[in-house]
Amino acid sequence: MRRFLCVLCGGDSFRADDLAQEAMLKAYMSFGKFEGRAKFSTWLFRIAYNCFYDYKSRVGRAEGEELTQVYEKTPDEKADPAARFENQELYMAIGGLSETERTVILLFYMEDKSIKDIEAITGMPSGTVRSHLSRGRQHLKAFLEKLSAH
Amino acid sequence: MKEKEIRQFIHDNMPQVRGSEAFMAELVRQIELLPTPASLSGWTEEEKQADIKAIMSLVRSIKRRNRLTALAIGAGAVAVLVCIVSAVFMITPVRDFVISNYIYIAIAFTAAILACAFIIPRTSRL
Repeated sequence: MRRFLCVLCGGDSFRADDLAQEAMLKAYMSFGKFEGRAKFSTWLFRIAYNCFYDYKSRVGRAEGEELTQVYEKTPDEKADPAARFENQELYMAIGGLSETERTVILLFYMEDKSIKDIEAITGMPSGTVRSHLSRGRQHLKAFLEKLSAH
Repeated sequence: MKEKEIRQFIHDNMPQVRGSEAFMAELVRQIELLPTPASLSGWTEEEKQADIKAIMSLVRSIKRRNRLTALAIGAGAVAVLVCIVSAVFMITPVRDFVISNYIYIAIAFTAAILACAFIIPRTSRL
């Protein structure tokens, strides 16, 4: 979960850890609501995903700026430079994707979640998840082909 | 570009999670500052112990029942096997039939055992 949030936050591990702690605390306080219909990790990821989106809404409202363009293209400037450099290729690969496509790609390829788990985590229907996955996959293929050509 | 290569690329380039001990220590510290959630409160130590004892005794009775069932099935299987082997050796037509069709008999026997192995757990209820 920390790793997933770290990449969503563009490499800002401090922000990611804040969100991860917020998610874990929310999970602890609302543990009684966990009915066991989905896996525990799926439920936890859902809470983490919602925390991330709440954070983005707060940041967007506070700074009054569009969240998409700048955020998508570059890693977070506040991130540890060494970490950003280390995982630069990953951020460049997913940089051109929309927020939802990036989330689906990370959950599917990095966290090895199934389509059903991703539906439960993001609240998106199966068709939408598959469509985002397909677009994300094409984008990644194009990026990797360009990378291997250089 | 295959699916496997995309997955490998992402796994090779994903950030490594560090500082887990510090993260967990901070999390535990924050949890201790929180009030106990409703789902975990209102249970005295005696109530928790009573529930644990009830569950353990149920587990023991299920184990005992399963052990007795396994022994009964084992004894039954041995008895049936003894009868069959006796019939094979003592009754000539049966012996000839078994010798000429032993492969089919073995397959049928294996299929029967597998069928029982799949069906019996589905029919058992807690």
